[in-house]
Amino acid sequence: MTDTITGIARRQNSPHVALALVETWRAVRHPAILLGAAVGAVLLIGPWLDLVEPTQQYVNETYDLIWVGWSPLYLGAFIAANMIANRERDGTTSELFRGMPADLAQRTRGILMAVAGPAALAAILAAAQRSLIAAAGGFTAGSRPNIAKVVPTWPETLTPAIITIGAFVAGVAVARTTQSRSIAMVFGGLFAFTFFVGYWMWWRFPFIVVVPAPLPYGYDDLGATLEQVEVADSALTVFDASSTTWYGIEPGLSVPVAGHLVYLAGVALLMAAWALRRSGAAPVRLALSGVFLTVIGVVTQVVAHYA
Amino acid sequence: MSTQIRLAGVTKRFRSRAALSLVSAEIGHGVTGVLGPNGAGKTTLLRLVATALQPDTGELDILGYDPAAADGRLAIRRRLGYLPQDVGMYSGFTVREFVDYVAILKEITDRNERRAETDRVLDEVGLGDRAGQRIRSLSGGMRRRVGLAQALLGNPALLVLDEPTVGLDPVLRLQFRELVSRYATTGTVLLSTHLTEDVAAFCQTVLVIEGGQLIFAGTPAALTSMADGRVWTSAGPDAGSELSWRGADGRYRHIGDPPPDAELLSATLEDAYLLTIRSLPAQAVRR
Repeated sequence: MTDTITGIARRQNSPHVALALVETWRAVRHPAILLGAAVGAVLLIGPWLDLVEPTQQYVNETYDLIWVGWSPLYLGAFIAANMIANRERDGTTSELFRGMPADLAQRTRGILMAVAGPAALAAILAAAQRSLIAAAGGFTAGSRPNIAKVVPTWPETLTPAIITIGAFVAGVAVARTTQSRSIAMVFGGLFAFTFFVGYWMWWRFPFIVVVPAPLPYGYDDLGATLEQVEVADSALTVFDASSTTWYGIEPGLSVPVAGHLVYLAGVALLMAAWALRRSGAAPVRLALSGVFLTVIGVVTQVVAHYA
Repeated sequence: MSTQIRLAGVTKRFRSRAALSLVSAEIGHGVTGVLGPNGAGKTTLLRLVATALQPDTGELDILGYDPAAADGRLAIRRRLGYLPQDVGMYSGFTVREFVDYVAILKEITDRNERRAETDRVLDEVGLGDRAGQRIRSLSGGMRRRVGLAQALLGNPALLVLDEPTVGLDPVLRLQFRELVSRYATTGTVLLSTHLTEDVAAFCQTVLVIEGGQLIFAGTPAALTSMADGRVWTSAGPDAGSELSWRGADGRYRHIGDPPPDAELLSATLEDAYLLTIRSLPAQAVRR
């Protein structure tokens, strides 16, 4: 036997990088993510495969659901991350891994970095969705006569990837908070139901600034009858039957959506910092970066709202 | 014998119960077996040496490093192979995937090197042909071998094995003894077991723990000699014995203080171990 000092002799790469590669591959093959991606693709990509705009059930349906519709993928990312991070717990490998050179913080870092896989998957799916919409000439937004064909901007198309990152990191953060997978599943389910199934409840200021799913368009309350207000030539309008109110909507809102994505990235960094803190690390710079991005994202959205 | 592990007045409590109390010992190269009844503190001792636990009081020196310090702990872990009592492997992983995963955690980050090392340890434990099999489909004995394989990754200088032979059939136990003995020629192996025959077969040193206290530290021969003249046989029960049991031949084997006309037998390590944990005051046998 040679008295090899494994770590010292072989530490060209930190173990969390190698771990991230392994976990990334496992994450993208995780059944929860595959199922979420499949359901999302059926809902959002399937109807566009023949390059004809599908019939909308209500005015602006496509625009409303364009990113919210990927919620099965978001929930899948949360569940997969939680299960991956919770593989190691009391009764499984936590005792064995206590004797490893790669400590819990490094192991958590490796799992967090595996978010690249699900995020790339979400980005690819969203890009495919956008490409099909563009090839079909866009989707119809607004109520007649003020309608337009809309194609999401490329920055907006990043939305599913960013939300998937947030969901995956949240899964890890919850796993480092409680080892109970049941609690995590209930939490994830309630969160998804509240903010994605019931997304419309939060699409008003100021809630829209802080909820996960961004409103993909801007809107102005135009009153009960369209004739009562001055409508700009370029404005699209939507009649909300429930409130008998007309709304003027503004598509392709890069600034508020980008601000929301920055906010989501900040929250994801804060959750990652929490997971690492719970793993014994002191990720001060990561936490400060999270706070910075969160504040910038919120301020950008608020300023855009009042501008 | 150069000291590889030194414990000085080590105490570890879980709430109000002392799992180990003022344990002092020096352990050198070779195989050291830790014997003791259930709940004696064997696992706590091994967890301390594996840096999975920190002592409440006392000092530990492992391979020349202080596990109380973060850099010392890391240095120990880089030289450590650890097999806990219950590994709790990921059942959805294949054998290769699990061992490969542990190899990453042991900082073997180069993929080719990891592959070669994984193959090597799986071959060592006779699981080379099962590398692609899911862990959930393995028998208990095979899982134990997977556990042993991960412990052997990186040729560790110190192997800490908690009940490594549980679930192994006699042939596999023989192979295990041979494997561990080979490793111990230049390294240090600390293992706990209930099986005195394992200790007799391949341990150079034996520690006996009872009630969180170290009551014997020495060679298996020295432990066995403590029962010399204190083992006898008779056709029926003997009220004067401390412990007796009926053998397959129908005769009773007794340990304790024999009567004057007793038919004495050669003592075994098991006799001595039983005698030690049954009757001897700790101070009388502590070395």
